Amino acid sequence: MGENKKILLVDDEADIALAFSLGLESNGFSVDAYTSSIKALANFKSDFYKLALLDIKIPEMDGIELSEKIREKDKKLKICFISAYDVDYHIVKEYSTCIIKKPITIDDLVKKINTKMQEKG
Amino acid sequence: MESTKIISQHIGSDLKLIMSILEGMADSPHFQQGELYGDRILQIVKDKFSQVNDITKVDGLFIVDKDNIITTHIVSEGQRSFVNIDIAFRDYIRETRDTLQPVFSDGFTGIDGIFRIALTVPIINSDTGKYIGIIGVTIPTEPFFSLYGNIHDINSQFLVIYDTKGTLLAVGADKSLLAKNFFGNEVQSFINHNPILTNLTQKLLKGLSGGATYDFGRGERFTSNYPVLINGKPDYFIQIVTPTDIIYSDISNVLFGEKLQMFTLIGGTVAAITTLIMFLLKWNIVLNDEVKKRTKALQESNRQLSLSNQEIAQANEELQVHDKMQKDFINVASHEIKTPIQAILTFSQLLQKYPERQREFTPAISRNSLRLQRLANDILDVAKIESRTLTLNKEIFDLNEVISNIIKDYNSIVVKENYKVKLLFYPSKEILLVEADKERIAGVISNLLSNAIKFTKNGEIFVSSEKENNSNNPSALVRVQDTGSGIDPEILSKIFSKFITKSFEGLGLGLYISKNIVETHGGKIWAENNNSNNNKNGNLGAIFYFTLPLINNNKSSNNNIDK
Repeated sequence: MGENKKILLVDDEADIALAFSLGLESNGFSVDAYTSSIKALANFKSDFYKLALLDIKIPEMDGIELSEKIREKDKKLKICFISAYDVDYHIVKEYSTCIIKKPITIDDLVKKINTKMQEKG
Repeated sequence: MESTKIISQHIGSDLKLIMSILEGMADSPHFQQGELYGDRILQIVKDKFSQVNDITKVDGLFIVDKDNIITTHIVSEGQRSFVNIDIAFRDYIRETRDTLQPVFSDGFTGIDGIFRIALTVPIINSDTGKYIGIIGVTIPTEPFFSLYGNIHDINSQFLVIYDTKGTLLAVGADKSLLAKNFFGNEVQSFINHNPILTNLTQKLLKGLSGGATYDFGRGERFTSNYPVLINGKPDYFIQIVTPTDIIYSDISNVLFGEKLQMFTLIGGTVAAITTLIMFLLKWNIVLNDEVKKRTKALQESNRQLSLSNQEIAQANEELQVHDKMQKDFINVASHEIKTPIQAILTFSQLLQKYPERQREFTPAISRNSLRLQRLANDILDVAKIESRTLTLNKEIFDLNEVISNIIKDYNSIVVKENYKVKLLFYPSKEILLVEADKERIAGVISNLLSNAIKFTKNGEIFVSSEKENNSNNPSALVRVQDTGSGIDPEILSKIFSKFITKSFEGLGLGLYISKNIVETHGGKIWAENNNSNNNKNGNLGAIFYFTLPLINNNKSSNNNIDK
């Protein structure tokens, strides 16, 4: 059985969601992309994803709230936040130390995700 | 004594005044020329008679010629007038003619029985010294002297007036004694030959003043003497007879007066003290008022200070709000810039990796590049608005045509993007010619439409235009009504302000820019929620309106000709 490289991607910007999906998939990841956090939560499958890449500012339910909800379902899921906003690290790091700032190249994004995936625990 | 002197001086001065009027007449041209009768003289005499009567009681004014014949005679009402009568028998006429001096006569009884005195002046030609005649007045003694005191009541203080011969011209003791001589039997028996009074009167007739107390059987009296001096010469003499009980009562009155004065003084002092107290009280009140006023001013000042502090606090708060807004703006701007950049960056990297998927990736790159461009334009527009450097390239165009074209463009986007909205345009019947920046106005309409589409996920968007004729300056009214979620009441009042948005995309500058563009064109823009629940989704939706001034007909026709 190969390494779990499944990623849940949630970004309300459709172009970003598509672009990141393609970019990550071209680097061997398998990506389920959503532009709605509600839909992402509804379709969430426990013990299925290795990592969730969540935009912070999402209508209806922001990335932090979503992270709490899916963590309840999957304790082992690793989470990275990504945002074009200036993020308040003090708040966000309570939920994850993996905070990615847009814009980012595909290579750098892959590096960050790999680092997070290789974290123990 | 003093009052006797005062009365005598008063009588003297009145008589002297009458005499001076007569002297004035005698010196006047008509009399100087010997004109002693006729209408003109009659008129002069009438005038002077009236003038003298204003001073005192005179009952006749007469002119006598050099032959002692009365030529003119004016008398009081009810008196007889004597003209052409020889009057030489009167002592005062003779005396005047002989002395050629003014005469204050002794008393005499007239033909009518009235006792009088006469004042006469000779008329002498001032150039030749020739005697022309006499001007004189007759004065009835009783009414004349009664003007100066009591001559009727023996029981109170009364006046007695004598002429140079000692004849009584006026007497308060007994009327029957009038015109009688003091030294005659009647008067002497009346006074019981009282030696004190006789002696006193003798002294008086010699021109001496003085006084004495006596009693001739009618009660004790005090009499004071004083001569009436005219030009230093005594012509008449006054006695004031006062019953001594009156004097005592006067003394009592004086004492009472003194007491009264004392009381008045005490009263005055009390009043002064009261006034002082009142003043002090008043001053105290004034001071209290002043203290209150100052305290109030101080309180007001404190209040102002507190207000200023509040204002500072408020300003500070506003500053903080502004600061927060600025930070929020930077954050939103950062997101708005970085998001399309992220898309462009990732798709361009994917394009390098998968060149065969160019058709798939390039539209996304273009789309995000345009998004960046729009963002840059909005920021630049705001900068221009705020630096007041926004310029308009005005041209004349039909607003309906522009709206219609924009609707077409948006309809194709709606179809392409598979939006579940329907765009409908209801243009006005008339052409709506405006002189405006076509591109900018199109921007306003696009902004309103894109907002309507953004908030109407499923429904209809109605755009209508009409001509407003309700003012002297007709204008076009454009209405964009959606069936979306409506405007959040929280932001409705500030929806045209900067950075106000409920969208997760955009900086909230669009309506701010639109408002400024419309207003720069002389129009108005406003928004409201649709209160009529007539759309099928039950959403109230929002309605945006804006107006633009229409150009007048002359201008439009000229423009059409040019075109």
